[in-house]
Order: sequence, then C-alpha cells, then structure tokens
Amino acid sequence: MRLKRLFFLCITLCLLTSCVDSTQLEKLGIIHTRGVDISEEKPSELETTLIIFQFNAQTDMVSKTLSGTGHTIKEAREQANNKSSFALTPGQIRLELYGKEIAQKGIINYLNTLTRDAKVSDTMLLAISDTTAKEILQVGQSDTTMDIGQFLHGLIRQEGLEDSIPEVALHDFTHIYFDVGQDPFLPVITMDDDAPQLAALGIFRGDKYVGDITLDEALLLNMTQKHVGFAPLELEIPRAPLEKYLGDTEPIDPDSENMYVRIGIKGETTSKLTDPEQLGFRSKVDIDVDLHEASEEVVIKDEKVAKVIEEELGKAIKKKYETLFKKVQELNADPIGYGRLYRIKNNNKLTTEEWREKFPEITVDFQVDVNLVHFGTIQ
Amino acid sequence: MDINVKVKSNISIRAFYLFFIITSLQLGVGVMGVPRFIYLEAGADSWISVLIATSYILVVLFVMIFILKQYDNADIFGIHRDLFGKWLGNLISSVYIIYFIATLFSVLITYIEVVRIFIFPTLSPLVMGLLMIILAVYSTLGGLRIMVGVCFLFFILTHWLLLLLIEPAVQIDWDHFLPMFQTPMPDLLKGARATSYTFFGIEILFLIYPFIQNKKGMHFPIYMAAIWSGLLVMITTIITLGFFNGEQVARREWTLLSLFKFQQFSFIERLDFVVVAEWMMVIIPNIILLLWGATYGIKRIYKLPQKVSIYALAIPLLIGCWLLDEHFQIQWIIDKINELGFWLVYVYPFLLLPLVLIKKKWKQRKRGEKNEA
Repeated sequence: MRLKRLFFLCITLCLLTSCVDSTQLEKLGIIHTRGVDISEEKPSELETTLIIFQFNAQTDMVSKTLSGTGHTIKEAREQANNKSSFALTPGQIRLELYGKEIAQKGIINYLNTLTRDAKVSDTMLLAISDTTAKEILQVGQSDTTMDIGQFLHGLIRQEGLEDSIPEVALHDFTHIYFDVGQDPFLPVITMDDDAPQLAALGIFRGDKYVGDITLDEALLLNMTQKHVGFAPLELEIPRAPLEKYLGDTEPIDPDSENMYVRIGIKGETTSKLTDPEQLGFRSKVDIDVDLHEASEEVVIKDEKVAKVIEEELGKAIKKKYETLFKKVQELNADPIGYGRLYRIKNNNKLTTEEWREKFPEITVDFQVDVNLVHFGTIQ
Repeated sequence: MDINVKVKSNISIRAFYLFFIITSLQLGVGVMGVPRFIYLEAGADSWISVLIATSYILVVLFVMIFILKQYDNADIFGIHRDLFGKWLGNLISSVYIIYFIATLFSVLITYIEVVRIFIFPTLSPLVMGLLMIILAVYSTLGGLRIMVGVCFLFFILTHWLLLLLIEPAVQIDWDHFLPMFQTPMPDLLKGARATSYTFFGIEILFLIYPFIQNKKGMHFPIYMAAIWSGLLVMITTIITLGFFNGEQVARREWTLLSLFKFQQFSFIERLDFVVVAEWMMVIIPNIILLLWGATYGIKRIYKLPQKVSIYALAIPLLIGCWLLDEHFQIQWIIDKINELGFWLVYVYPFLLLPLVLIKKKWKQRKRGEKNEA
C-alpha cells in the first residue's frame, strides 16, 4: 500500500513539471542592459539597444548587442528578438539607459511599462546618456576587454555604495517622481575618449531631463536625502587663515590663494520650513569630517587649528550648497524636496503645478556645522 | 435537525487552536491588496481605518460569543432553526453556505490570477485549480482535527515572510503620513469598510463553537486572533504607504507582493517568486476551512453526507476556475462577496442578538408559567 502511494506520488511529480513552460538557460538571451532612444531613421519610433548574455557552446562571446525599433518598448524588443535565435527575457535587466533626446521629452511612460511587468525587477538602475544610449552601448561594447553593461552597472553601483550619488534605482525614481514637491535625478554617462564615464547627475523637472549638477553637488544632494557615511569630497579653501599652521613644503602653484583638502563626510542635511508666508526654509548641514589629504601640509597641533579648519570647511560647503540651490532653482526643479515640507505644513494641499510657480521664489538659509573628527595618524 | 450539536470528544478541539483557525482564515488573498483599497478611501490616515476596523471586529466577536453562550452547544444553523423555524431558518442558513462557497471560489480565482501574472503566464487555470482543490478535498475529508493541524503548521510556516519586510520597512518615508488626522471621519469609516474582505473569517466561530472542548478558555485566543490579524494588516499598510507613495499605491495591484521585490539576497534575487509560491500555504488553510464550512452546513441542514457534498462542490468550483480568468470578472465577484459578506459577518450578529435574547426570555417565562401551573 505504501509503495503504491509512493509510486503515485513520484508519477504525479514527474507529470506536474510539464504543466508549466520550461525555459532552458541555453535557449535564453538574458537581457541585462537596455538602451532606449528615439530612432534616427524613423522619428516616431523607439529604438532599443539590448545587451544580452547568451550561453552558447559555439561562440566564446558571452555577451552580444542587438537592436530593434518599434512604437513600444516591447515591440522593439520583439523586433530585436528576430535577429537572435534566443528567446530574450527581461527579468534580469540591471540597467536601463535613456538617450538624451528621449529623456528631455519625458520618460515616465517607459518606467510605467517597466513597473507594469511583474517580471521586471524594481531595483534595476536607471541612467541617461549625454548622446544616445545606442552610441554608448555600441562603442563601449566594441571595446572587447569589457562588457559595457556590467561596466556601467558597476560604475553607478560603486558610486551609490560610496554614497557619492543618491540611489537611482527604478523604484527610487518613480517614488520621487510621484511625491508632490520633489523632482527626480539620474546619473549621466558621457563618452570620453571611447571610454564611458559617469560625468554628472542629471536633474529632472517632472519626468523631463532639464540639466546637470556636478558629482560633488550630487553628494551634497544625497546628504539631503539620507544619512551619508564617509563619502569623499574635495574642497577648495583659502590659504590665508591657515597660513601660520602650514608646513614649509612648496605647493604646486605657489601663487594660488587657495588650497585643496580632501575630506570624508559623514552626516546629513535636514531642512525645515521656517517661514510659510515668505517661503523661507532653513537647511541644517550637520557633518563629521575626516581629513584625508591636503594639497599643502597642515600641522594640526591643537584644537585651535582644528577649529579654523572646521570654520573654513563650513564656509566652503555652504558656498557649494548655495551654488547647487541656485542651479536647481534656475532649472525650476526641486530635487532636494522642499516642496514636501511645504505640503506637510500646508495641510496636504499642494499640486505639482503650484509648486512649480512657488519654487523659484523660495529662499533657503544653509547653516553648516562641521566637526573635524579624525585626521589620520599624524598631526 | 437538533439545535444543539452533540460532538464526540475524539473530534473536539482545544480552544487554544481557535487562534490559528481564525487568523488562518482572516489572512488570505485579501492582505495582498488591501493597503491599496484602504488608501483609496482614507489616504494618508489609512492606519486609523485599520485601527477602527480591528476594534469593530473585536466588538462583533464579543457579540458572537454572547449569542453562542445563550445555548448549550449550538451553531449558527441550530440557532436559525430555533429562532426562525424550519423553512425560514434553513433559508437563512443557506445564505451562509452560499457565502462560504462564494468566498472559497473568490480565493481560488484570485490566487490563480496572481500566480499567472507573477510566475507562469501560460499556466492553465485548470491545472492550478485542480492542484489546490485536490489538496483542499484531501484535507477536508480528513476531518476537523486534520484541518486544525494544517492551520497550525501553515501559520508557523508562513509567518517568516514578515522578516522579508524588514528591508522595505527601514526605507519607510515617514513624510507620507504627514500631516496626520486630515481625513474626515466618513472617509476613515469607508477605509475601515474597505478592509472587510480581508478580515472575513471570524464567522467560522459560529460553526466551530460546538467543537470546542474548554469553552471557558476561548475568549483569549479569539480576541488575540483578531488583534493579530489587525496588527499584520496594520504593519503591511504602514510599510506599503511609507515605502511607496500614494500615487504608486493607488495604481498598483497586490502592493504587498511588490514590497517583496525589494529584498535581495546573493543566492536569490527575486524573492517575489518565492513569496507568491509560498502564499499557497496561506491560501490552503483558507480554502480548507471554507470548504469545510460549506459542506458541514449542507450536512447540518440537508442531511447530505459531507463526503458527497465535498466532491459535488469540487467539480463546479474547478469548472469555475477554468472559466473565470479575467481580472475585472474576478474583481466583480469579489465586490459582490464583499457586499454580501459585509452584512452577513459584520452586521447580522447585531440583528441576531436581540432576537436570541427575546426568545430566551420568552422561553423562561413559558417555563415559569408551566411551573406555576
């Protein structure tokens, strides 16, 4: 009796496996990077560039580039699939790269496509190209030493892990996009001597790409989003206040009035609405700093020297924040999210359009509190 | 049909297990999508709606226990017979049975839809339905004690899923709940009502009461069960609304399942696959208990042996799973069940209470007159 039952169990288990479609790894083309552009030949269509992994015994090349056009992304994928003997699957897309032109026209529709498909991971990274996505992916791919998809993914992930740029996964972008009173941002990839590199952080107004901020500013922006843990930053501070504490080493440029210090920043920036009538905000930058390197030797004998450095660093960071704020205000995009604070104070009544009108008029008072914690093993 | 049920001691259960029975039945397919429905009504203050709903359910449970206590060992079918007589009583009991069957059906088709969207788009609903119904029939034929065992085991085997919510929980954006207390009371109540499909399940108490051995000790597990379910729905609602923002929640179906997409391990990247499969363990106790409730009711009222009715029910259910696979059809069915269930589960006990009390008074007076005479 028991044997009979066991027998039936085994049979059912074997038979049940055929109830679902089987997908063999060898027959799949696993898309891991996708570029989306407006097609050059057919301006009303999209062009996708796919970088896929294929596990085929006949070729040594594991990754391969395909492209296709269509009115929808899925259609374009289908068309690309016609050029490949593998079934292309989108479940492992790690990075989606948008061309400059399409990003300026707005990308939320394509992001919704991604979210709609339950198979697509919401943790994929997004980025924009300063030319077309196709160019970056194809040129990068022709350089056979590296797989461009993995390279770009690693590049952005690395910066993200270092806290140098804010999180830029699909989920983060849509989250910020749908929050009233904040605008999203994505990293910008440029081509520099045939090697792609991370050049800036692109700022969006709504879902439209409107301008860039530098990577240093991206760190400052990241501090307004979350607590940053020792992200590196290089600052320019004037020499004069530190003159008497400097060692007698010769700087590269003796005539310069400034010196450079490289520091690790730990802390965050918290903002508050201080004056609802005049739209006045206060952002408090509270950071611990490690001194990593200076362009000239600074002898930190006692606390007094540390205080001077702290003060100078504070001024430099404040200046940087003010430039960042002026830049985004000119773009009329609010990546820091002052609108969110205003919405909360304003009984939840704020629309994106209202904030677009108000944002250019707000004023922000940056208060920087720097605390020099460590400076390595020498004084 | 007897009003009171004679239960042999070898098939009765300890009151302690009521906790698992009620939570198993309450937490089912509803939880996967409930934050969205609450949010659509109550907005950022959704958590207050969950609080209101849970407190209301505690009151309903109190009333249900109070009604049951007026009898020696009766279930809802016996009470109906006692209050309304044979014809009307059986009619109302039949509504209960239909409700059980309909809920069972909705659970089946919802889960099949989720599996087809998340994992196997080409899977035939017939196969999925067959698999689940075979399991349900098998365990229901095993009797009440087997079913309670299943509830207990699957409770433990599924609650680890909560650990996977830690990752989205630490990323909660508390700004989404501010400003608080802005939603007017009617909307909060509507939000509380939106939880009704999720919180269905307490009605099983009306059926299972005669099988409880130690009736004195049943208050604690029953109330704890409702509080536990309320707490879980509260947690998922808060995490969902904090992690996504309103606009996203309003547009996403099965928001809870989407939350599991954000947890990643180096050995498994896509936990939503695991979770959808694991959710079968949440569904199985549900359909077992509902199938038992329906067939037990049929046995009580129409004297049809449970073995016959289980098989007789399984076949139309299977055909139904096969035929109904469009999202809006399923939503329509759930809406209808929602309406019926709302009145039956949350309002009806309050109507029953005065009738039971009047009947009892009347009986006592009659007995008193008899004694005097």
